[in-house]
Amino acid sequence: MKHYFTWLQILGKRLLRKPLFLFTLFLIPATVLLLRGSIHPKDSAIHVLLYSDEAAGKQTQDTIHDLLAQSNTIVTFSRCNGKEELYKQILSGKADCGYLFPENLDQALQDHATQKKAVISVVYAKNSLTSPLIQELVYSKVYPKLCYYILENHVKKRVPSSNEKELNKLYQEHQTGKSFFSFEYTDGSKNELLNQEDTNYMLLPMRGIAAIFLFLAALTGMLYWYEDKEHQLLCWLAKSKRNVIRFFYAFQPTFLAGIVGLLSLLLSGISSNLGNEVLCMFLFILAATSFSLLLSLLLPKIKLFLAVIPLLVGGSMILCPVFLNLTTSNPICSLLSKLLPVTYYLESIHSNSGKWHLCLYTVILLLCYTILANCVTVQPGTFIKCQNIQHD
Amino acid sequence: MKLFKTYLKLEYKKALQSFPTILLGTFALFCVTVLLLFSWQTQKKEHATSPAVIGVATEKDEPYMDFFMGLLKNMDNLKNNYTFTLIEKEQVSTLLKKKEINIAFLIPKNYISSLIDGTDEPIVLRFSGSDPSITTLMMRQLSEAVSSIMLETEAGIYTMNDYYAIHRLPNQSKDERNLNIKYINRLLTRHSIFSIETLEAEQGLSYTEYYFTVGLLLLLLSWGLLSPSCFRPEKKLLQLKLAQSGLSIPLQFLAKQLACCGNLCLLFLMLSLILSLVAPLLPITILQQTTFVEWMGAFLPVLLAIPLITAFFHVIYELIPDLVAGVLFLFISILLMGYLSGYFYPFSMLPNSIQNISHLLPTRILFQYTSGCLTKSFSLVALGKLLLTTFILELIALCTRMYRLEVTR
Repeated sequence: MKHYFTWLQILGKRLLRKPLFLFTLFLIPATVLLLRGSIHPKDSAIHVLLYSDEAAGKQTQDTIHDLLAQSNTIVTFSRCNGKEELYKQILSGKADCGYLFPENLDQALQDHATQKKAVISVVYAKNSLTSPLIQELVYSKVYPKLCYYILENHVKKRVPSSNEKELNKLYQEHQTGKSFFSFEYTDGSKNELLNQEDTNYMLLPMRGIAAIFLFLAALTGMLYWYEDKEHQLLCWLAKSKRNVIRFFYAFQPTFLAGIVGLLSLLLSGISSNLGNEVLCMFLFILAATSFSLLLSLLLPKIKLFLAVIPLLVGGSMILCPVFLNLTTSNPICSLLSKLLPVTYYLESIHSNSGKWHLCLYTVILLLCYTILANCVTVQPGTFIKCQNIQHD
Repeated sequence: MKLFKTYLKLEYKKALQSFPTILLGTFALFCVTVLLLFSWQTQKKEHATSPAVIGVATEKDEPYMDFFMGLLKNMDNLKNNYTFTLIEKEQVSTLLKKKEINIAFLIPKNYISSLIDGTDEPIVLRFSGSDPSITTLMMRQLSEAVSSIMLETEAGIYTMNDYYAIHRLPNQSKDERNLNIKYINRLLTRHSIFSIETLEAEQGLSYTEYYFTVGLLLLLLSWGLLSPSCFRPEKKLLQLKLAQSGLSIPLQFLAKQLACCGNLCLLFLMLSLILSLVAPLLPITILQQTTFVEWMGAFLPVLLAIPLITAFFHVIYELIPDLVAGVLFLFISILLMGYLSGYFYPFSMLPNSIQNISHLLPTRILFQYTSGCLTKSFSLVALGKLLLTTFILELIALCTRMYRLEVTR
């Protein structure tokens, strides 16, 4: 046991005495801090411009005010002073789309209720993906008035002598205002991130980025193993001991990356409760380490191991829900993502069954490693070489 | 000069040793990408809509739910992204866990009444997994819009009922049904309220062009992870000995740079050749190019980006010569710089401060130049920025090397 502890110490010192390694580890928390301060209240993912003539009526102004008040970190509405400016900003990519309101929106909506004439002009860039969403938002703002005019027309047709004022008053009484939403994770716990109005969307993928970084740390940790194996530093160890020490090679950098990853999550504000985070991170460290161990066993040459690193890391970026969740739209993505530990970690945070899946995944990997490690035979010549070294 | 030539040859031979690893890694990435593209293409043919499913869970007799579902199912804009289905409340957890639905809308009991009473029971949106993407936040916006439309419609119908009741008007139920139909018709044709004008934006790359460029750049940048030994500096002792024998440090550096750059250029040419042969045969349109010659014509100017990529690798490995720390640092640099340069989300979605910073990042400069080459909008300004950045990075790498050796001396 003491022997293993010494190895653990040696390998730990090897990493910790490299200031640049520590600097690399702290790049993620540093980025989190940078991103936390990067979002200005006026910043958002989608920029929408609104335009109306200065002489526009009250209804037009009110609708524009409503939309301006609806701005948040996802969609920002801002008023544009001129039509030319609006076109210019859309063409240059500074704004996603623009809405040109008529001078008298009230009258235009009344006409639309009977004739279905276009009321608002929309301008957007040809490749815009977000403009359909904005269209729904703008429609929801003009719909209350339109809805009333449809009702008024309907009642007037049936009862020509109907009292408009009374109808309007009744309608206003039935308007309930804003509906309320609450966001939850799979296990029913509150999704505090989405429940906030001013969510910093730039920080959303930080958990995934930290997870991929940890996974890469586990993989690169094995590079020391390959180097040391090439320099025949380990051949004097018994096979059983060598297999345990191989685990330490991957575990050490992964553990350090895990601590820094946890710190980054706490700084970013996207973390759940600390106990849950620590548990999931610990399970993930074990899973990533086991994956790296098994891979190093399957790929005896460092060149092969290096060749698969970008594949695994790139695969984790695309297939696991880090930036976008593609698993929902493609069954092959879903299947391939099941091979990678990052998927299990991301699923385990807010789901107990996810935690069990992560455990099971780790156990399977470790079992495979143990079985294969005992089956792999020593390459001919290695033993003689080692004996010679020991004699020397 | 002779010494330099010999050293250059040796460096090139060393660089060539990493050739098989890079080739193997690139081939593996290429195969996975083709597999995914193929599966997407097949799936698109089989299903007109995307299988991302949203389950709406409600009590059996909840009023206006049929109307709500009708509205959701007929949102043309969402058809490519989501499908809506009515589910029972008891099924929510099971279906989410089994991933049979991706999001559940849990409508509280007597939802409409609760809003009228002022108790404001919230609609719960439950997500499967911890979906971190920006689309989740957009979903929130959309939910609010749909819900607002639904509440206004319900207000209209309640008003009509009250008005008829107060004035004791006949045919109330018939008129209510007619008003319902009017509202549904109006909502189904709601886009007639907008007259749409689309513009050809100056910076408008199509999403295929955008992500093809990003994919190509990430592939090229991953070469630094595949062959760290090729870019890492020689042992200090060897460098000093070579300097003593007449090969100065800048010349050693130049030889390494030329060898690595030459190696990557050769690899890129091979990759371009394969892509140019394969791309015209694919059933999907990636870029505007249609023939082998056009594709090669688009790829060849990208060769000028290879020195910047090589310089980027050199800076990283000169700063951090240790194998593990170097690979980690390179990866995290690519990932974070790529994130801040709009590789994973469209650039316009980034905050202004980040957009301003990103113009200084090599990843953004690479993107601007490469996208210009691939989309036939080659820009001399982008080329100028590319060359200047290459020069600056090379200078940093050289200074780092000289500083390290000076300290050792």
